[in-house]
Amino acid sequence: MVNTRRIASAVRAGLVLGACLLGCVSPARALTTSDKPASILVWPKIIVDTNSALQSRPTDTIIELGNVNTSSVKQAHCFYINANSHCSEAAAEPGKVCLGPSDCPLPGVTAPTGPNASCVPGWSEIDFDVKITPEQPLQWRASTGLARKDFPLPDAGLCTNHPDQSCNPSSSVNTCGGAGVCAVVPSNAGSGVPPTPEDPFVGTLKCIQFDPNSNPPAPDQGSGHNALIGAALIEETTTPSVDLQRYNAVGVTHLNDVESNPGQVQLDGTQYATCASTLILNHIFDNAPDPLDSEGASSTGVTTDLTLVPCGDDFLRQDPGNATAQYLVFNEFEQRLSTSRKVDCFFERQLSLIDTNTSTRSIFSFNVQGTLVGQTRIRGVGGASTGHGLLGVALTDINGSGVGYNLQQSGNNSGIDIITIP
Amino acid sequence: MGVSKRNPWLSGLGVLLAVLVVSGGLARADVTSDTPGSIVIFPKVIADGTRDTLIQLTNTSNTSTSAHCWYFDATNNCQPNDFSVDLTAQQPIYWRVSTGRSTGDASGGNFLGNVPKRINFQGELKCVQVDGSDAPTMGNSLKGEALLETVGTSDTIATGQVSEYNAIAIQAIANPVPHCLNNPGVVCATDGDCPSGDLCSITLSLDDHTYNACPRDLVITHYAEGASDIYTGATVHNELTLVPCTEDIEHDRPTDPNTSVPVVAQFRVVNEAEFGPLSGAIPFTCWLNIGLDDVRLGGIYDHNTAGTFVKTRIPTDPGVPGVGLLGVLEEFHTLSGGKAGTAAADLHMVGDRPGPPGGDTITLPQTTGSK
Repeated sequence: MVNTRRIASAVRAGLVLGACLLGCVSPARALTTSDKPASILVWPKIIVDTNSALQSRPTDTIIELGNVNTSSVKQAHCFYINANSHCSEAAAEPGKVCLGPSDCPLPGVTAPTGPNASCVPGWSEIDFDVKITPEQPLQWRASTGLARKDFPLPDAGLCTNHPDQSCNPSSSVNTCGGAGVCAVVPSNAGSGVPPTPEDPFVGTLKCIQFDPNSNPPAPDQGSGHNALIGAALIEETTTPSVDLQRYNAVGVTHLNDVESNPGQVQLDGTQYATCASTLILNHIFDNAPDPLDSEGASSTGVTTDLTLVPCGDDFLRQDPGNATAQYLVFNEFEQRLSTSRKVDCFFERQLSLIDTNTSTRSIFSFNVQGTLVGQTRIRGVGGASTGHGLLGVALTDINGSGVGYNLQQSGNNSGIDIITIP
Repeated sequence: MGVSKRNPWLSGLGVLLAVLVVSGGLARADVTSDTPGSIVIFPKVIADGTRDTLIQLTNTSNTSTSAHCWYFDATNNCQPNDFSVDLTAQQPIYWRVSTGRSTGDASGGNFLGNVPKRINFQGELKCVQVDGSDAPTMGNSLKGEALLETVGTSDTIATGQVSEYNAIAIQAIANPVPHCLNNPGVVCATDGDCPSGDLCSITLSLDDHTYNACPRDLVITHYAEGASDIYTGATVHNELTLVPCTEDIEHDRPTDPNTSVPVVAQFRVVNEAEFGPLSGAIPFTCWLNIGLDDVRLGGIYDHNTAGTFVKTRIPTDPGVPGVGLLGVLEEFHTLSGGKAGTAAADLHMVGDRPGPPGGDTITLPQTTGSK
């Protein structure tokens, strides 16, 4: 009898320990993702410059958004974050979108070397809603958006006696006539995507899966969560050719229905997955020759452009997230060099201009590293609830042709990032 | 009449089992393209004179490790060809598929390995993290990228167009244990530990117990075939590459088409107006690389049928072993008279295929682990 009790006790303890171990492991695996459906999607880099005012070629971004749920309509509540900088009032063209002071000459100044007015960083957001029917894929140009009438399924109701006739199922007036009834159908009714607020535009798109039946609107924490997938296709035209850079939107999966501040989305490993503690970027060092160019002489070299955004944002107070990105750069000799740089709302820069203005002297330069490829580990460091973790994407230019790819990631961020919704 | 009495210990056991099941479900991590793993798969590798591929492989840990890799040549029934590379702590390495790379080469790196060159090659590359004895190990520290570039000047796509995708990584949960090939319940160290005539073999079980299981469905949004790009007006062509999760390298399956059991890639297509699903299916044994205008798909992707923009779902039956799939999509946008713009994308992965009864396996040749 005693032995039986001891065995039972041991088994019980073992089961408790096993449950604990498994339970403890699960949160550690919850990271952001770029290849799974999720409840929050982030497109770190959206570029629009259809007149090539700032880019070397006319550019637009095609946004792709899909619902993988096979039975119910999903709603995405989205925010365009405008990270454009603008010339100050002292400039010849105050308010003009700029990349740096050289784009903002003072009135009457024609010399390219200045003097210049300042180029003031900015941050603002606009939000909109998209309803996506089961299994539906959607796409739109960032520069033009998608007007309500242009959605593929704009009608909330169709007449039972005239299936081609749209109607309003919430109206008390029967517009179908005869014995017809206005039947509710899965639709994009209530959706509208505005164009980016400026052209040129550089910034971020974030979408949060909302419950379409919730009043007031609230993030979807039900069983049909994690139904959104997305991608971006940045297209540059050099008639008659096209250059494409594609990446998957970064997803944050919903984990548990947690009673929290209704206006907040917490990336804490309990309600939503946490952001990674380290982003891993594998790249060809800047200024290296194209390793696949058979003809060699035509090679103009390789550069990689990195975009980073903070995981958290306060859309209510219009307070962008910010953090410091620490970079550890390894070459093939296992040599390690490091640098750091502030990420304030939105960071986009050629790798070899992160630590210096002279590309060939950078720790990201082939001239300095001496090997073709490197591994850069990026760690976000910040104290605010909007700036612990980072998300990002890389675009590499090889002989004038670009590729986009998602960063890889490792480890959970110990801090909690919060997205505050108006 | 007897009255059954509730046993509190059993009730507690039930609760704990439920917790175990739930926690276990949460604890599983899926196959991914954005985290390091112990098996790294490059579904699309081309070195055929028109296109070439740059492979990047990186050790993300602070200790040195090794990778045992196999090229599967789809131009030759996926004949495997293996090699090994060693990586120091945090080391990134690369090689060009058409030229290979060897220790002590003149490219300025610290490369430790002997990667054979592949010419007229189309197929898959798979690398398994191994320890110093060449035995598979659960380091979960390998990641990779493939850069596809069109080379030369006389090709149809034109020079300089590039695509890149992240290699697909499968994380290990436990170290795989060798067992007798025909007696799976018998653990072994050498052939002598197995019944007469049987071989001691290493099977990597992608079952959520030893390694993470492959996805149940693959999903991606993309243009329909022949559709016009909504910004550039370019005509779009898509190329989808799929590889099976299950591979029996020990028995030369799928190398031998006579003994290989084909997997069936099923396609379910829904367009923006929720038209569909249109469906098609193509069986294959080791490597499927098709344009989505392939006649076997019966025109389901034709823009005249499917519209401009679609979502493809490639489902598998999670209860059937050995039918898991992985893949990448590459799209080509062409304007009249211009060179094509290309971009590759990792497919989204939905659900998983735990085993048994489902799951997938990679059976390594007997020489693995015998260094």
